[in-house]
Amino acid sequence: MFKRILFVFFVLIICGGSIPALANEPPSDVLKRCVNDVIVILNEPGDPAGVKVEERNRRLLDKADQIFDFRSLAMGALGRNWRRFNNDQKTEFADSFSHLIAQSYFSRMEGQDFENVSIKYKTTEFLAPTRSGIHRADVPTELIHNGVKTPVTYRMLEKNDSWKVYDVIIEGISMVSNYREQYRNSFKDSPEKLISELKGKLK
Amino acid sequence: MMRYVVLILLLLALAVPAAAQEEFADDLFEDYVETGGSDLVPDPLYRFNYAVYTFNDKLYFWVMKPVSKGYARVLPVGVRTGIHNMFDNFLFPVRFVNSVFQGKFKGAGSELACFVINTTSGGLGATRPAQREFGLKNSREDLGQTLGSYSIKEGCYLVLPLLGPSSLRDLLGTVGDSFISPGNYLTYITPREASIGLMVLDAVNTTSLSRLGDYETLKQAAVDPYVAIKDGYIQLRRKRVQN
Repeated sequence: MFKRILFVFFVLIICGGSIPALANEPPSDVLKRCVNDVIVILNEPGDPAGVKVEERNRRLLDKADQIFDFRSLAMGALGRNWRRFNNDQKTEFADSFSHLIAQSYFSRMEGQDFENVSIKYKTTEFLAPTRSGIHRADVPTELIHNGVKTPVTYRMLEKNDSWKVYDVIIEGISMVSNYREQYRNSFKDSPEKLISELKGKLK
Repeated sequence: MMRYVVLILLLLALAVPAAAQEEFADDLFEDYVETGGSDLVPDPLYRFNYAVYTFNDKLYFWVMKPVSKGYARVLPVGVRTGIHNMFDNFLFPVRFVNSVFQGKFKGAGSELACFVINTTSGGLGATRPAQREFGLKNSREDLGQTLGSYSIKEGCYLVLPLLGPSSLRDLLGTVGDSFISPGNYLTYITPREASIGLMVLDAVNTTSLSRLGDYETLKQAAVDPYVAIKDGYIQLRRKRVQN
């Protein structure tokens, strides 16, 4: 009897990994929800004294953390440099990297009026899983601002049963590839130098 | 005994996914080729290019940005969009001819229809009834893309004064296209100053519409802005050649 219970338990554990994935929210829904949340936060009436700006930026960064897999983004950006970083350095780099991206792109969106912005979500394209079995999907969208259409594709992966973005492709320009190219020649620089360089860019 | 085996198996089943999580992503970017290989667009004129890049950068911050900002304050966005559309409309020959050169006859036809409709009932192209009412699409073709579609490579990277990033192939394309750009023939019917004035207006108008702020963001987010712009340009052009 005991053995049988154990066996059932065992089977459950083995299969368990794949069951939640089926019940999951599809990648485009996850993306849509987070993008809408970000727009709501950005649309909140401004505070003339600027007291709440910091609090708001923190909330935006939290949101960004929910939708982006910054560790994978940072890994892709560093390319072959990534392996030279120890675990703490990887974490430190990914952290600063997420701040740089959030800071640059949120400040760009600030003060824009979102009434003239609309986003069209197109059919999700599921990519072949990687060799290690990570599920991936491309969510193509079209950003329309003042009548100008910009194609933006979000490349997502499934991690811990939820979908996260690990590359953004704007007009065919992959953000990860772009950083990769920038870091390609940094192979002689120490990880410490690359981290402090990145931190120097943060306000 | 059996119990221990099951227990060990259980522990393994629990531990393996956790361990796999961290190093999981080694192959995530396998299809992202490091462009350092045969794919790289060489930059033998780096020193010249970097100097021009610096010049363009200063020109933007010292001249284009303040002028465009002032200009945007005077003219409402609707008027500026109209002006932009008109300039764009008269580049029709470039897009049409290059669509034909690439055997894209459907695109060429749609381009011709856009031009006829927008020029006549769109106020010389200030508004775009062809796109709005008929759902027609422009085909953003130029000679650089045509040459690219004939498998001609970029050659080398170039930064041009005022015009920004380019390549040997695309510069050739720009020169070729200028022969079928109406703007080039304005000098025969108007004084030179007028056509220069129009070129400046186009540049200021376009900057006021889209580039203000974008360039700053790009520079702020980049670790190495020169490389970021070079790679961005190459990626964008390759994508357009494909389409």
